[in-house]
Amino acid sequence: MKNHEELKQLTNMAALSLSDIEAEKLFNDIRNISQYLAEKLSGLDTRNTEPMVHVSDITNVFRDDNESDPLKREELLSNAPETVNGCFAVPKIIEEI
Amino acid sequence: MELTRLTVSETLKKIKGKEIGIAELVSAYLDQIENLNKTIGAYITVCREDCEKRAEDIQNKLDTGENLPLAGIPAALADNIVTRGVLTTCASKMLHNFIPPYDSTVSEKLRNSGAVLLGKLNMDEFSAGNSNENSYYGPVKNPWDFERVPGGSNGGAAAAVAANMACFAVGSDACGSLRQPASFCGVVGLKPTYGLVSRYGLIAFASSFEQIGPITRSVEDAAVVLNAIAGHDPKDSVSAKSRHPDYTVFLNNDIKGIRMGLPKEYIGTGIQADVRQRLFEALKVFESMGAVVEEVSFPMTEYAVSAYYILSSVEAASNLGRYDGIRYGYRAEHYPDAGDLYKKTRSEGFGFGVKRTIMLGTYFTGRDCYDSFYKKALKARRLVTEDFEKAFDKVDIIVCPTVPVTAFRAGEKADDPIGMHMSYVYTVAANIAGFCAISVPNGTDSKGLPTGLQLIGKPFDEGTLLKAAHAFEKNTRFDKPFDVIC
Amino acid sequence: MKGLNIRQTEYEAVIGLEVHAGLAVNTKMYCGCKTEFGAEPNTQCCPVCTGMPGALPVLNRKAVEYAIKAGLATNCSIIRYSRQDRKHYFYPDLPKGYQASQHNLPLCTGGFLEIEVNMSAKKVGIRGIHIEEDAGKLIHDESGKYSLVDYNRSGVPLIEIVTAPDLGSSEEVRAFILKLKTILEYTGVCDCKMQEGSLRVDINLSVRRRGESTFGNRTEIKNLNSVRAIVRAVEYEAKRQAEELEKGRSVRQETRRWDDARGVSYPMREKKGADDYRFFPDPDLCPIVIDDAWLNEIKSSLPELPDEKKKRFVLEYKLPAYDADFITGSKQLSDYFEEAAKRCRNHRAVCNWLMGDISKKLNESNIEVSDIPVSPENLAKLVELTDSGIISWKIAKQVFVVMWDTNRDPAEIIEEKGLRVINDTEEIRKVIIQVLEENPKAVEDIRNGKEKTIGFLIGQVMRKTGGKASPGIVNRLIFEELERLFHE
Repeated sequence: MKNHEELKQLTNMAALSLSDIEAEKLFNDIRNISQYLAEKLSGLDTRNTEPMVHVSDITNVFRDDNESDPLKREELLSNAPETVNGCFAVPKIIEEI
Repeated sequence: MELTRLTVSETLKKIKGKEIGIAELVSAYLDQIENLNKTIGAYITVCREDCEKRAEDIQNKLDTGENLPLAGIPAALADNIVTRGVLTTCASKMLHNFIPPYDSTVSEKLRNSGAVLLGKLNMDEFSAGNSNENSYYGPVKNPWDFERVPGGSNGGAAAAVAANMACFAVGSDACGSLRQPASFCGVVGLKPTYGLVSRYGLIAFASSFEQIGPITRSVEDAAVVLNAIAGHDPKDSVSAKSRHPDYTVFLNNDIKGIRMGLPKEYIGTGIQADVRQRLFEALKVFESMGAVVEEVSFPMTEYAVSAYYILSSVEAASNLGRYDGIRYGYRAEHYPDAGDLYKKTRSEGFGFGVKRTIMLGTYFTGRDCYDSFYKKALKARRLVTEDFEKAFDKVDIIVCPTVPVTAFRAGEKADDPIGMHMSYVYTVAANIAGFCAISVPNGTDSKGLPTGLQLIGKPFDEGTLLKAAHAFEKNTRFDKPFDVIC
Repeated sequence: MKGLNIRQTEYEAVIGLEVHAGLAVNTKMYCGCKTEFGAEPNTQCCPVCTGMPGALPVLNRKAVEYAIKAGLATNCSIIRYSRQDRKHYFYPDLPKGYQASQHNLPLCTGGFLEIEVNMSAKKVGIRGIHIEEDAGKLIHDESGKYSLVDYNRSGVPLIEIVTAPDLGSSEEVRAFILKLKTILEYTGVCDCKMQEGSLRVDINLSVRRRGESTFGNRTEIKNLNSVRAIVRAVEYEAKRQAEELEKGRSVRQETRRWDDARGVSYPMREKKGADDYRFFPDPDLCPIVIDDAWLNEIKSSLPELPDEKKKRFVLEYKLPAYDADFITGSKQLSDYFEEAAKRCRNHRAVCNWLMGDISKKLNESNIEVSDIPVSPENLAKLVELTDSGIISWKIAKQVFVVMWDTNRDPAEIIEEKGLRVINDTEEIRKVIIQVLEENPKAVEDIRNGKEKTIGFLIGQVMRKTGGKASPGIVNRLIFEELERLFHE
């Protein structure tokens, strides 16, 4: 984390907006934690090690292309903050966000 | 007779022998919750009416001869396990009003086994934390000492079982989040092998690390509850396909010849003296029963927490992307456009710890950090796992303390994210490698606070793990929290 | 847009495409919800495809098989160990904050398709084909206050086909899309209903001076869903970029949108870092391992592909190469052709009907081949009736119009309307005599050497017989009768 500009970009990428106090604290936290981790891991020789993506060695888990019951629309929408005409409603989107 | 002090097995016996009625039992637990929850804060939601009605239903089934393995047992679920029709908040403002229209596999299995859901338990918000101080619904107190934390993220589960507010509890363990609170609260916490229990309906934090497991008052109870919740689930792609045995069969008090490995890296610096003392006493108990203890080495230990810190943040940041105020949960009040709706909702809905996790996880997979952090951590994950695999060539079980320390004071480590994670240094490896592990009570420290003994087993060898833990429990006699506080 | 035409300038376009094809499967990628187009909003949804907390995905096997089919049909190598990754971005139609996709290890890599433009063949490289889930749909409500989200499409299985930047013109792009469309239809992988959004294309385009080997800055035009729009967008964008360079400006590397109504592309508002998708392997999904047995099973389920079929049609039905190309350009059309061809002897005639009247009707009425109202059986009958001289070619066309509206048996129509060719010489002779009597001036002209006027008389005869008179007989008899008249 080089500067606050980078923090801002990261905040955008995470779809968050931070108060000045939070931003200051997170800037320091990310800086300290990443420095600590980078130092820690720099001592580890991983040249001959493959990444381990998952503990599970399971492969090829599939479903057949068979229909199952959907949720009833009332149930699907029951937790939505705002609905209009059977849809989830958000403020009008002009373009990409 | 104090009904709420009984273990699952003892309670079952009394219910089936018609010594006690389920309604009576449930009401005893509800009273206990009523008395203690204000102080301890273990529950977010108590299903008073639902469980009274359910007690009646189960009693009827029982009276008509139906055989249910957990008939009438009052249980509680951590609030990150989805329950159809019952508020499921994940201890976050973000889900303060979320009533799921579907059920988790575990909740369904417990219901089918006849358990009665008392309510939903407090935890660190979205599992991000290890002291249960980071809940939208307030902190949970350790029943042994209200000034101290119960551990986390499942502080609510451990505290509820310790303080007799539930006969057993079920939560999830991503790096020790069941075992560490179990150790801090003097109860049993089991993290099964990755894939043994379905994660369908577990609100995801660190998907490749977390497993659902029980917190109980005895090892036998852990086996009984595991029987009820384990098994393949076609709804979880990484759920193991093999059939699981009846785990109670292993509990025969015979551990003669079992080889136990003591990791030498775990007893060096950073461990509380009396915790180490209790460990060596425990090893003597095992040896007296005919187990063979030898030293093993985990040179990669110091990298385990770092690898977990990076990978869990990455997975969590991704898993938490779905909370946007559109389909469910909290939505900010003022938002000029959809972009602001997202940002405001997420910023107001998530607590600071969760935001930090999201920011870190986003940072670690960004263009500039991908190789040096994310990929490096994946490699460290392999090296840590290989340490354990090598050890398991020689021994059947790893034995060590669950946590290097006993419960710390509330607020003590709140501002030290790295130091906080160090309390997971002994537990995290089992999650990194996906092995099964259990924490059983191992006496108290000089302050009278409980400490736990951790056993780590080979993948899908819960049988041996529970056998050893059970034998240890049968050959030791430690205070239970209710003897101390209630 | 006025100004220079890229074809005449020193610039050339370098174009690569990303084609998103909706798979013709019953259920979504990771749950059992239906994929049907046009259902009521949010009625084909469940916790999995709306990203509810705790829900987990389970992959649709058929989607994987279809992606592999598409790979095999486009000469790709099939990757034997493949993973699914999460692609992160935020948009209200994307319920999880990420799209399950494939990044490092897609199912198929390194293929190509051959296209033909202006009589010359060209190989277009295919970098890879991967599976991914579709997003939901945003509907703009009438009040203008809200955008409404419908998640019916969320989780619908797609493949993304990524080409190499091997295309150089709108003609090549058009040829490629049509070829790809044909192949996807043939294999049954995608129904290619572009108007329903089941085939959507992103265009990556840059221009450079002819002969240069480095690439210019490229733009990406997203989400085009008709061949016409794609062609126009390519032409516009190539020209726009060439003009920028011509004016000494540089092309901004950016994502643009195509406004089909105005015929222009315009830049999309973008946030810094928004293109960093932070891919990582989805921990909820396991690797896909394709062994020989499975791959062979999929291979053997592949149908005959357009290039092979074209060759066969030339050999078996003796169609001219151009006609065979046209007919095999659509699987449905070639299936229709074969259905009709096996029921009659004159295959060329079937082909002519398809390329002529039927194609014309399809274009006029804007319907799909699958909806041709005339059954192949009835078309074959019509061909047979014409061939055996029971009706004339001209009558056949009238009968066809009735068939199009009613899909009735042509023989029935002919009987009912009395359209059978008149072979009766005496009957025809009577009509001819009558025509000659009614047109003394024409007869006189012919007598004076204006032989062309015979055509007029024949026309009159045909009109009087409603076109049913056998043209051969009319021809013969009209000369006989004229001769007789002149000798009198």
